[in-house]
Amino acid sequence: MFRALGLAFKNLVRKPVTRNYPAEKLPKAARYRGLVLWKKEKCISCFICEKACPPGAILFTQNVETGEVEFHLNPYLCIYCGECVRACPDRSNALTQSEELADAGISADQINSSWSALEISAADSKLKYRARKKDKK
Amino acid sequence: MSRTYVIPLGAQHVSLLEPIRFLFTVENERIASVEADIGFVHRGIELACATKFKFKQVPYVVARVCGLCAVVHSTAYVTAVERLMKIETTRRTKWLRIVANELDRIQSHFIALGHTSECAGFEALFMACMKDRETALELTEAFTGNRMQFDYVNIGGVNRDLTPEMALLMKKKLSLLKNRVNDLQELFMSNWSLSLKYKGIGVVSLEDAQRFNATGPIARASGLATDLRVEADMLPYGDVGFELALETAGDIHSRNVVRLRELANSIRMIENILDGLPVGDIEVPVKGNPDGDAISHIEAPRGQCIYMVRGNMTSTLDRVKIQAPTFANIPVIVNAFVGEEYGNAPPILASFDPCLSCTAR
Amino acid sequence: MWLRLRRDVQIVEQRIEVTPSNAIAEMAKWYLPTEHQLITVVALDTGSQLELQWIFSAYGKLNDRTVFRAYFDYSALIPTLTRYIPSAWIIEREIVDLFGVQIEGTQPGLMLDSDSIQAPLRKNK
Repeated sequence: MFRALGLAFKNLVRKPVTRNYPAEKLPKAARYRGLVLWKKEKCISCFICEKACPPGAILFTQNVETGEVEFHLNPYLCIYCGECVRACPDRSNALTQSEELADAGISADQINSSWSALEISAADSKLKYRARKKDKK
Repeated sequence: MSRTYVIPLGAQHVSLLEPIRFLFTVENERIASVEADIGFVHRGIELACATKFKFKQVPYVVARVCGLCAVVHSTAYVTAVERLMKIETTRRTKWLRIVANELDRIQSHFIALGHTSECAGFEALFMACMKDRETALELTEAFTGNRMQFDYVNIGGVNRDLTPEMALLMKKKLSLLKNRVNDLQELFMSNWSLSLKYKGIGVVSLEDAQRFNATGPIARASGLATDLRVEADMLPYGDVGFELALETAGDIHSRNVVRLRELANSIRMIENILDGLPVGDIEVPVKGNPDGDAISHIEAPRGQCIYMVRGNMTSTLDRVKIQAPTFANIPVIVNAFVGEEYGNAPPILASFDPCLSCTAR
Repeated sequence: MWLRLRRDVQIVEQRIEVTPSNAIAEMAKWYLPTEHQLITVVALDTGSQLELQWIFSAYGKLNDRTVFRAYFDYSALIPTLTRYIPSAWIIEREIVDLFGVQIEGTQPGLMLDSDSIQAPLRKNK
């Protein structure tokens, strides 16, 4: 009983084990899995990451004239597994997973509709560019 | 003369974490018969695995079958595909997979213990269990990068290596956790008010466990020595110091004791692995497409997790069959309610630690 | 001394082919409640027939698995195992729901509601 009383007093004066979250930042573990970042100059436009992504959160649109690619990541669809980074032939250069930038927490408006529109235009732009390349030959 | 009433429990109930509905036919206070409805969260994952996703993406899909035992599902699927494609993973990979699975078991058993004590009316113990679970979750975050949904295993290997600093940190936290498990063990074993709600209640006899093919801690609490960590060698548990936890009473108390002993054993196994982790690569290259049938068995925190995979030489699989532990345990749960008092239904249900997302898939 | 050399044991799967009519009888003859455990019943759609695999394991034995296999027509009334192994009802109800077949004494409605897609895992509907 005395042990229990002692524990009770100890708990009375002890600091709480919880953290005062919005005021106090949470400690992040080393090698935190954050946003996936893309470097345009390193990318060789192989689209392997686009095919490897399990939820399909990566899309590339291609400029029909120049063939220039643009990277789109849906941070709300991404599951932050890092499969794209591992699939990238140029590991840890063209695609990297940030350790600081957090994943998207606040929901935006109409992500779904704009993303499905982008899905169609991405596939479309690649097809068009390929057709154009064939025509040139 | 007794009158019978039909009282539902669920689909939403304070003692339930996930939706399940039981219809109890009650005679006075005794439960006479039970009917279970489990399909509230059926999401068609088996269909999605076999149509929408490529076989290399499926480990991340099946990880979403369940939140609490996520890595078990990925591990079981990945082992099945590796058996199909005749890939021999490195020893380091297998040992790291054991660490992930055991960390998962630790946090899952903590939530089960906490939930059982909450349903017995011991809120403070629930809070204490959840506080210790936090330590386990911090460990998983350091080890895999996420607190839940680890996404740690893939076909041919694991996703990240264990660094020496991380191993040091894990050892430090594990020794803290070990003391806490000892304290909890003492509390669960010797607390008088807990024993009122636990001892002799919700008894599953050995015969019933065998008749209804119970798995996991439920079977082991009834004295049925079955554990896939010894019955299957998908992962080399024999090398890392596995011990079977066996009780004979079959009531809520012995299920808690089995879980506590497994907690202590899991911590010991992880410490052993950290001490003697083999060196080597963590990935082997994967080429080609799977063909044929393969079954894989892994012991999940709640029992047997079975995957059956059939490939057809394309990148999409023909069939993925998922058998989750709670699904196999539903018949024995339903049977255990009969003859008990209605007021004891929540702690009995909590002691079975049902995971309905797994069950309905 | 916890570090022991790992024995490399191949996984032994004893496969027994049974005919649809005597499947249940064969299993009931072979099954011993104290030694064997029904793990699962796997249903597969081969495209023209329903393939059922009853998978058993043995308590306490390493990698000991027995698979009974039989093929059924979609319209056939599949015999039930629940008479001999009472826990089989849940797996059989799931198969009825997901494949839209008929199993003796088994009602649909465990996984799917009546207004949802019926028999999602059937290939040719």
